[in-house]
Amino acid sequence: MNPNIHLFIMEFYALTGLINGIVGSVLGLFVYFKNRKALANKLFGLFCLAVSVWSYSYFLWQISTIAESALFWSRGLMAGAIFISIFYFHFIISFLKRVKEHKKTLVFGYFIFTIFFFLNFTPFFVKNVTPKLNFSFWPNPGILYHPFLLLWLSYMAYSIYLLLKELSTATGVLKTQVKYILIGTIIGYSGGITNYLLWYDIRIPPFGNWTTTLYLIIVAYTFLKYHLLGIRVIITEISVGAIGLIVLIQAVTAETLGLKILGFTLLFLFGIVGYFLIESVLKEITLRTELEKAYAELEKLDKAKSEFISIASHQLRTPLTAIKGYISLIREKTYGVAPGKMKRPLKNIYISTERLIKLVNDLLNISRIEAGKIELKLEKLSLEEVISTVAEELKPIAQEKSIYLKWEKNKKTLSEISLDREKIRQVILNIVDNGIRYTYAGGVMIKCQKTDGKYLVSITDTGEGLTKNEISSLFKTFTRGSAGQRLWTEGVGLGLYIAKKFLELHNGKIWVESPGKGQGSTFYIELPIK
Amino acid sequence: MKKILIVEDEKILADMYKDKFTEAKFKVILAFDSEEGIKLARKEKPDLIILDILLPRENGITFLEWLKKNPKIASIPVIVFSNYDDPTTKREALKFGAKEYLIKANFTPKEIVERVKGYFR
Repeated sequence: MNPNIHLFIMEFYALTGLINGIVGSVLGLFVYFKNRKALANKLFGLFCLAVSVWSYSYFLWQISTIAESALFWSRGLMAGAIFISIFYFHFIISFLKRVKEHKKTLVFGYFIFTIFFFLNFTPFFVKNVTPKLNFSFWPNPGILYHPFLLLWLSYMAYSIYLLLKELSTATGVLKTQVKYILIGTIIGYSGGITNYLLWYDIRIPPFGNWTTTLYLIIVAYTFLKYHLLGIRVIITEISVGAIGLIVLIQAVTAETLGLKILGFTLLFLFGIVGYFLIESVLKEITLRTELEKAYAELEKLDKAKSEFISIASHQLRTPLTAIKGYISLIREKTYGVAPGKMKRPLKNIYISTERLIKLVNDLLNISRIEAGKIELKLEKLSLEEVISTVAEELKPIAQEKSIYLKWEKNKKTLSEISLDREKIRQVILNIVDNGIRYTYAGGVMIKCQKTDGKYLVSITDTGEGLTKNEISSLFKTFTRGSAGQRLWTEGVGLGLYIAKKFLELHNGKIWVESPGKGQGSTFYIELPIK
Repeated sequence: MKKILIVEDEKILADMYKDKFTEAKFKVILAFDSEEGIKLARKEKPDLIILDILLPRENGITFLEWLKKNPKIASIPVIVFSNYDDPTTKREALKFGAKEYLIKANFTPKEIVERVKGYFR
């Protein structure tokens, strides 16, 4: 082989080792000194130390000119490599706050890798060095090297597995951190693994060695990103400093006084610009960090609020279920015939309980609508069938008021469409129930027809009717028509708002038309055919 | 006579449903937590289970998990009947094989009896 190429290869690998070593030491020290008390920082520092020992030895091995020296540094290299995997594992479980549950695996790892460390200086680990591929000296594995490598890879794979597992459940900032640490790790180890191939006479050089540097930078940056503002500011500072230094050298070495003045003026101006640049980066990062924190806090609060509402509505519903249930059992004569005089009060208790249950349901729905957390459970079903069920359910109430409730079905059955059965039922029930409630003579008529790729349900009553003003605010929360205020105390005006929102989720809409007071009204529900 | 198991920790509700189901000629077994529910399901092999979600110690979702792991009782239909209206829990219950997730307060005992009868028609 051409001695120049040989030298170049040797220098290239020596250089990657040196760079990995420098980056490892600088980042390790940097992270450690940023928070000397935090376990994760200490562990990252130790991990970088192991990488640095490995990398500096790698450099010294590559520039060795005699076999003894190459063998010595190969063993030095392994002294660092042995601890990389276990320190990394410890760093990951500490970062994920899972040290307790992996304590046994951790203790076993430290124990076994320490044994390997002492055995490293015997020929059972690194047997000797011989020329391989383009390398003058490449280490050959001893018998203990194989179980070591297996264990080393297992700890590394397990760390990656833990990160992947965390990724599937983590949220917010942690999820981003885990994602980037994973990316960094995969890049680093895909490249780093090329170092092991020649040990097993697979004739592929360690071309991916340099990725270690990249890996360290990504992991350190991600780890620190949400704890301090450092790296971006430091990069800006270094860049500003480097450019400033060049301008200064140019100014000092300028040949004429005019150029010197120009150089120093430039340096002065650059100094000001540089200062503001660093300031702005610092400000931007501070602001972003604060925003991220606030957002995470909001997410937490939002979750707590949803849970509180679910639990609170559960607690409210439980006694209501008992009241409703027992009253209905008494009315159905499960406990014998109740005195005739009790019939009306029992009915009133039942109606009042139903009102309370509806209110709880409405408030729960409102809170979910406001939080954008309403989910649709779509299924193909017949809109006519839903209307029939509602009409059937409300007929007795209309009969009791001596008004009619007519459901005028189409001659030809309408095809099924995608609907959330419960929500659409609730919408129609609400509108028809309102119609009956505000009508004293005549009745309510329901129709459903197909128009321009849509179904249009109309619910016409001969009741109180609405003014233009009332129509404009009818579908907002806590509003009722004046008839609602005058005639009935029941209901808090949430039903129509919920109906509107449920229909919007179906890409449908609702509106009302009324000729005026005392002339009834028609509610229209439009749903797309899909 | 059809046999149903009601897993419900609120005694006043459990008694209420028992009264109605008994009147409708069902044999009713009551359990007050998930563990007791599984024990009784294995012993009594009911035709249907009515399950509450918020139960002491292990909740209704755990009950469903246990049920599915037990081949002898895994095929018994389960209706979740709870006042806990949480979309995630609802999804989980249906994923673990519950036939329906009904909100208790929206049904009278008579209506739930009719619903159950529908499973035996």
